Amino acid sequence: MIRQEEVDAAKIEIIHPEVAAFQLDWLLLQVTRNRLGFHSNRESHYEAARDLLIGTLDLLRHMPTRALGVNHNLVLEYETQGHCNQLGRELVPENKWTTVLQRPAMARVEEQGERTDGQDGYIRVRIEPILDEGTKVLCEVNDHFNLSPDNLPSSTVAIVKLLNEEWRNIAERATHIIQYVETLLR
Amino acid sequence: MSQRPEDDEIEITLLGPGRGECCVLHVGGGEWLVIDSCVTQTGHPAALFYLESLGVSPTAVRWIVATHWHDDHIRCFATLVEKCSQARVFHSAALEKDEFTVLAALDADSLIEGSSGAKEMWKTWTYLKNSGRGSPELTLSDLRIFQRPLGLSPNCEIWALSPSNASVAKAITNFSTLIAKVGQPKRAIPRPERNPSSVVIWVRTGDVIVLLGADLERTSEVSRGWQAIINSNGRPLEQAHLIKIPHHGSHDAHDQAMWNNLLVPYPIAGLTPFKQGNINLPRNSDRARIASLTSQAWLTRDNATARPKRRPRPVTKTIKEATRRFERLSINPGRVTFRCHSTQPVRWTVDAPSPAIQL
Amino acid sequence: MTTTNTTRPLDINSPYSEMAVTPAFDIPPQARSPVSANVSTTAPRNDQMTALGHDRPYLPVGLPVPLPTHTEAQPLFTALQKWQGTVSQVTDSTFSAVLLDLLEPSVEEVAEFDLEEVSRGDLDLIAPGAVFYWSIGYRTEPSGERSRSSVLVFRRLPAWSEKDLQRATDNAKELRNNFGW
Repeated sequence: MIRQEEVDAAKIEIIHPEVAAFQLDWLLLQVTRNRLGFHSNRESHYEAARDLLIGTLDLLRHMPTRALGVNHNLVLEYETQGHCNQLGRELVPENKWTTVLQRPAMARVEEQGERTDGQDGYIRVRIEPILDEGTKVLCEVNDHFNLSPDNLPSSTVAIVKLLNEEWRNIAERATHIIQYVETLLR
Repeated sequence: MSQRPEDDEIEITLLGPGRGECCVLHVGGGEWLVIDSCVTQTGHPAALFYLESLGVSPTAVRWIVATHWHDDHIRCFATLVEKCSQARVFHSAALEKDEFTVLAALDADSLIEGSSGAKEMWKTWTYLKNSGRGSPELTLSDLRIFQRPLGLSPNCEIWALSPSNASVAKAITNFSTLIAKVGQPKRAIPRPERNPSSVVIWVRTGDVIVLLGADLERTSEVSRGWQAIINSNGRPLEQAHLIKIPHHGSHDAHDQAMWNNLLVPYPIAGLTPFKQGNINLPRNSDRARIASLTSQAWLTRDNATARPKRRPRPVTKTIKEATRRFERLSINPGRVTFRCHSTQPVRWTVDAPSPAIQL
Repeated sequence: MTTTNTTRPLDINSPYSEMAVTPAFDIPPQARSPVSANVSTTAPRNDQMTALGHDRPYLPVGLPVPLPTHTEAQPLFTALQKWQGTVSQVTDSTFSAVLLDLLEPSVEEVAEFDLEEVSRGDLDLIAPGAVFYWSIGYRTEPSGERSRSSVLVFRRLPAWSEKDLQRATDNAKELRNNFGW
């Protein structure tokens, strides 16, 4: 599932009794007691990360699986911190808080919507300023699917199906939402 | 031509490549036959788009034939079948065999995104099964699939001239080599170079006869390919006035005996171009050969490729650096339409709007 | 305003960075031990997210499960264009492919690449029918240096298994029975 030279160069990071991580130059794979995460910061390798998960699930066909989240993050970079503040005020009106807080400002906004594709789950958007980067705001779109873990082995099979059939829709949805957030300050 | 044909007119419209090719026929009496399927720029079946432009309902399509399973002939075939709810569906008898059904089931389960002919065939079968429309009808050589009842005008017969039993046997052998083995990597099914079991259709409406050559190839064996048709005693023996030239005019599909035996001298001819890898059909030598056989041959597009899409400069620059060749496949199918009155096979009207050309 | 991929290293305390796929499992007891074996402890980090503007203090945001953090920054890749390709022909030095533009899926293109464009570890995957992703974009090093880049990544899916073949055989048989073939 991975090129031999990447296996040779992989870093295995072990940090916690219940957390293990494996790192390639295009991927971070994390395993916790009840979660498996594949993270990539290279758009050229997003599908490779997906395929590695598909391959992993093929080995874990009998693992009861509750949910699948596909998350796209993008950093919006503004010219000044004032623009970031303005975005915060668009999302959370400042005057709602001035009677109880001194100089209120948006620290994090999460908005959740229902799925429109008939699947069980939700779409959640998180917008949050980035530490030390006064002009940057993280925008994350979480495409979340709930699964029935009791229905073995179909829960992992269902994930593989979702990853394969919904991949492009998920990416398009994330792009659409992020583009919407970008328009809030135009 | 934006007006639908009269009831006593026969029309043959060739569409392609978008990618693939498709042939739409009015066989008289307001009844239509669609052979194969290709798609428009927006990914819809080109045959439906064309019928809609004439104001013809998809329910007027009575027969749909998949000549073979290669993806350039059955793009969006399942959608075409679904929309044409009154149509009987036909394909080669080779496709009902274990070898092809397993191949199609595997391809449908392969996780490889995108269209392959086998996957599209599986999708079509699944639709037919779930909708209760029943199984497709199987074609073999010398099979009459329709005859208009006596008293209805114009008279009409539709025949399948192939595949022969030997062609089916050969196709089955080929399918079995494509079925994945345990431990093999998952891949898209590559488009086979050979196509032994293509379905050739012969249509007579009134006095007009047309031959739709699909991708049938020339073989050295008398029991397969064009030779099997030529040597058959069970087929209608009248010569056709119009030919859809087989396999995009390629040399592999040219059988001089077919031109001598199955067609009138200097017939009307139509074909579509094809591009894959280094293969560009029809080649210049093919064009010259066709031009020597008839002066009335039309190609739906001069070339199967088009100008590359406009992209930002850094992308265009990198494409040039990273590739030896980079071409866009054509976006919308070209079209050539042939019409004539069912009693006058010598008086054809040809509509070949750009990018179609006459050879 | 500009949009960029994040320039910081993957920070897993923010639950997901860039693109992440995360299935959540109910792991049965027998499956837990291999996962947690041979791991050592470290203190959880606070999230590095901050509040916005007005010189406010940073607001640490925690996660229920402490997750590891990268120790080394990795280069980023931001795509300007992506295709899905299917290999159609292979020669001694080149391969040809049909490309589907992932920004405009109705656009199909054909390209011929030198085999030299492919990573050595992917060469044995190249055969007719092999599927790959081709990206053109900018690679940004942790130092900030940016360069135009073309990346070919071949798909690596689980190989066909006995079960896969049996399932296909069963499905085909069921279909043939249904159609009376």
